[in-house]
Amino acid sequence: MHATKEFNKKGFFKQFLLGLRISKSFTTNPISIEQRKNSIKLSSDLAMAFARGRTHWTRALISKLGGKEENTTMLKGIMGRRYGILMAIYSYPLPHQKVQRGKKIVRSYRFCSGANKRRALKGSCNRVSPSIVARNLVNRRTKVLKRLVPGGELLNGSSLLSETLDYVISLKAQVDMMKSLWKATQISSSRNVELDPSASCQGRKLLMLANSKDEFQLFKKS
Amino acid sequence: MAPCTDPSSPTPSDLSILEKQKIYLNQHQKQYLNQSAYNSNFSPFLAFKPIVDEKSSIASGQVYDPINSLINGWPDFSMVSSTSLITENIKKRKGESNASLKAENSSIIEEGGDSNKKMKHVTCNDSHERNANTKEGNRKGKNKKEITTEDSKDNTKDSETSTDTAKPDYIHVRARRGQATDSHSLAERVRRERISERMRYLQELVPGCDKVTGKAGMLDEIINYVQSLQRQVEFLSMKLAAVNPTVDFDIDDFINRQMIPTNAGCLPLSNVLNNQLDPSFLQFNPLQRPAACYGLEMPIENPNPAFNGSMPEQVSASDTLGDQYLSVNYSSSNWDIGQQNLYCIDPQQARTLGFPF
Repeated sequence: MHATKEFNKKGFFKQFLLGLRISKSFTTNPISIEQRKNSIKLSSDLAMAFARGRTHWTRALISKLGGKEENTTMLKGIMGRRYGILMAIYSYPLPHQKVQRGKKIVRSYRFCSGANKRRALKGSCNRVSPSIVARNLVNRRTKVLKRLVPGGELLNGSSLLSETLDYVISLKAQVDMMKSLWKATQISSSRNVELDPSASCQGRKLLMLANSKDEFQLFKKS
Repeated sequence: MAPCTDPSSPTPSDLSILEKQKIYLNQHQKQYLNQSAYNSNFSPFLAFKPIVDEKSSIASGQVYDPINSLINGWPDFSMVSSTSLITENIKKRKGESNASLKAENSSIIEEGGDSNKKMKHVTCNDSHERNANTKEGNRKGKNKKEITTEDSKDNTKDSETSTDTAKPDYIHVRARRGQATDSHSLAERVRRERISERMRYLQELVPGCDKVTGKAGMLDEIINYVQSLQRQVEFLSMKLAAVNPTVDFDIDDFINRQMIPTNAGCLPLSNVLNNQLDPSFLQFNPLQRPAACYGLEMPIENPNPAFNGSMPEQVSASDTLGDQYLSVNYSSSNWDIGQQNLYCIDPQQARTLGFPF
């Protein structure tokens, strides 16, 4: 149904590392973990979005990330001289700009749902019918999903689901990439530890992080 | 199965999967359709039905079992609506077959006591006459949903067929037996089928979703999964940040291995430290297989000669990998983070980093 990501994994990886390099060049050396984490995450997200190509959620994600002030340097670095063009392309009508329209729609929706409820209640003597309950549940969850998926607020119904599908695939690929990168660094640094016994601090770090792996398992849903 | 250059377009994989379906379904057509006249008309419909492909079923998220639906007596043509991307012209049935159906219709009217059926048959008869009269005239461009009836092997079903269209962007829908046939409900049904098809794909993708039924439960699972994936990304980035004091991860080593052309699809990490066969690296491939999914692997594109210039010579010249990397990308004086970095990291895959826009 969707184009494979096999091909794009390489592109993703390269862009990821490129982004990391750029962030390294732009930041001062005593850098906090928080900043490092943010830069890693940012470059990873950007790499994922660029590798995926041009879909709704990628555009929304890039415009959202590009909107923040602190990210412009990174974006400029990655996109190079195309920064201006691409930002113009990606200038996405973000949800907060649509509040006005949203309110009107909400009001008419309220009217609609009220009329529906009245209509249903006529038949089912003062009890809310199960279909309405189900519909409310679905609507509530759709709203949550819209918040999760980048650019989802503007989508509806089946297109939201297809964007979610695409986004889930990309997220999975991103997670797998980062996991493999993590493993690679672990192994390479463990090899360094073997070769160079003076690098004991690295070993301690590894132990610490190995313990934190248990936390990692918590994220995996059974 | 022509590869498509637009990565975001779903049509190439659709085509590949659909072509497979065509082959698969052509084998089954004769079993389930008894009239050859219908075969030519229905094969386009049948071709749109997704099938279970063992190799990619988990990844591609297609669960639809054609055999069961065919056993029910009639192919589930409602799936046609989901592939509105690809439409075909449907030829009208010949007058003779229509005439034969008319006779059957009248017999059905006598038998059936169902009001729906009756009404539909009445309208069907009308439309039959309409068909016969204006068969030629209707060939031009209108998306009329005409009601015709046909006889299937096991049971009789009323169904709608859309006429030919010169314009290819209409959605061809087939109404099922006993269902309303006005355009509103048809559109509703198309929409619902589309949504349910997407939900099925998602069900395949999200682990643990097949135990839950119903939209609300599945949405719940999907939301949980997306949230957990996002949290995983955060956590992994935190871990990666903690490991390295600088944010470069021995990039030199990794990128250097990428200079060596790898076979399509393999993550370059599997080639890292290629003199030491580390089994943990070889595990990476199965990790990535499930995430990547649906079939087509785009061939590694030829390097764009415009960008390469002197790059290939530099790449091939030096043997030591560290120097190679530095000379190709980051001459220390030239931190030009523009086009050069972006497009020339790997001369053989320069195209990949170019934006697909």
